[in-house]
Amino acid sequence: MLTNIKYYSCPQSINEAVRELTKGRGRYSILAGGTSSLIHTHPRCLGFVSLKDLGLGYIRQAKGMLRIGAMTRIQEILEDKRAGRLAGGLLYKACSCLGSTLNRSLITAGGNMTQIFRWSDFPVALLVLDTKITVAGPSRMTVPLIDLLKKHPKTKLKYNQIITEIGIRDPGKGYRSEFIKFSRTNFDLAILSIAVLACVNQGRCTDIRIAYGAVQPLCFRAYGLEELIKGQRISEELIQKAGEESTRLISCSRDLRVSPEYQRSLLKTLTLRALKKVLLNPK
Amino acid sequence: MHIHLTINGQKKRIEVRPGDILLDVLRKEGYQSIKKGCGLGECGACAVLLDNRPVNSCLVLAADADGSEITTAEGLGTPDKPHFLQEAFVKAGAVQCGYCTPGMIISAKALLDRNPRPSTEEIKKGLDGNYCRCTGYVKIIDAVRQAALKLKRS
Repeated sequence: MLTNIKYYSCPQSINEAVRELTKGRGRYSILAGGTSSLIHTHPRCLGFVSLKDLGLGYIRQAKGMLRIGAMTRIQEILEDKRAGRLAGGLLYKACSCLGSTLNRSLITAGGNMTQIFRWSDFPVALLVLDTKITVAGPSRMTVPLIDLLKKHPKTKLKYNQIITEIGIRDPGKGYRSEFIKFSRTNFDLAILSIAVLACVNQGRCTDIRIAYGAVQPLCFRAYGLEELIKGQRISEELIQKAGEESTRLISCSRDLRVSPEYQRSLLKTLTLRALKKVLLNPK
Repeated sequence: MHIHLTINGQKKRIEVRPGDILLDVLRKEGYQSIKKGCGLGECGACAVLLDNRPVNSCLVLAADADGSEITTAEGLGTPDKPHFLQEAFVKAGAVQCGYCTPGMIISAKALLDRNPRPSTEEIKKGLDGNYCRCTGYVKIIDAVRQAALKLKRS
């Protein structure tokens, strides 16, 4: 039993949920899947406002974007064909290594975007896609994921703001992708993860996006590395150079689980592996 | 506060506190097949089917489960008429101390409901959230494979 929890409410509309959270003045937490909030309950948290009845469990295609409701479970994304096909299966790969089957049935897309940890997998894949996050609160707004991740979403979002939708634009044909999670077991926490999305036209890289997870406290895009490859003719030498440069351009923050040397070596190895898969392999 | 649950087909009205966890509530109600292992959603000993989805009940707030249908290992079969998965676990010798078995069976049921002909890899993936510290996993995977064969024949 969570002894400090004295209040629970299950609002029927987003406005009502925002009102409840406003009433709590930061002492009520949002309850989505519960996999994180029930384990890491803040001592100051006195109650939960559940999002389960807000109708946010959906995956639909609208206005050229795949729209995933915040309460959609990761297992539901895995089982959805449109999400599975997106960007050559990039989202599918990231979701399939996220937690165990038992937890994927609880973890929600929105929850995973708010409770971001160093080792989070899902946002790493979303970073290389053109992802927009819809936030409801006293006012409604849609922000690019890259802006939301400039600070930790838990500090960036106010206590009465709720992520309601994740919108992902399909990069279209010609793009190839790869997602690699390095961990001790399939559903263990990532020691390092990388997502790459690239377009190669007539042997030249016309567009590339690279994101890393578990290297720093928050996942991030490696713009410097992208610039190094963009517009260049694809060759083994270019990929090798990018692998070498990754350890120079990307600073790894201290991680208790791995030594800095191991982390840098892993960074180079996974960068090479992902770039080779995306840039050299036709499929 | 009161919540309404349908547990193994039986409707129940249960009094809970806002901070109660579903695992504790179900055990208090007498569903002892659900075991408290890690309490962190890692071992799978507390697995139940919540609206036909396999979940760790230690990660579900009881109040949030209001209106749900829950299936536990008790609801699958009886000692006289066990479920074919329970039979398969006994026949394959997939039970040693038995602590993880109800959770394993719940995960296996969810897997076979979704995919009646799973490959060995799919069985491993389907049971990836359930830990067993006694038997190893070979006999458990055998048991699920046997159950799938029986399902196919029937």
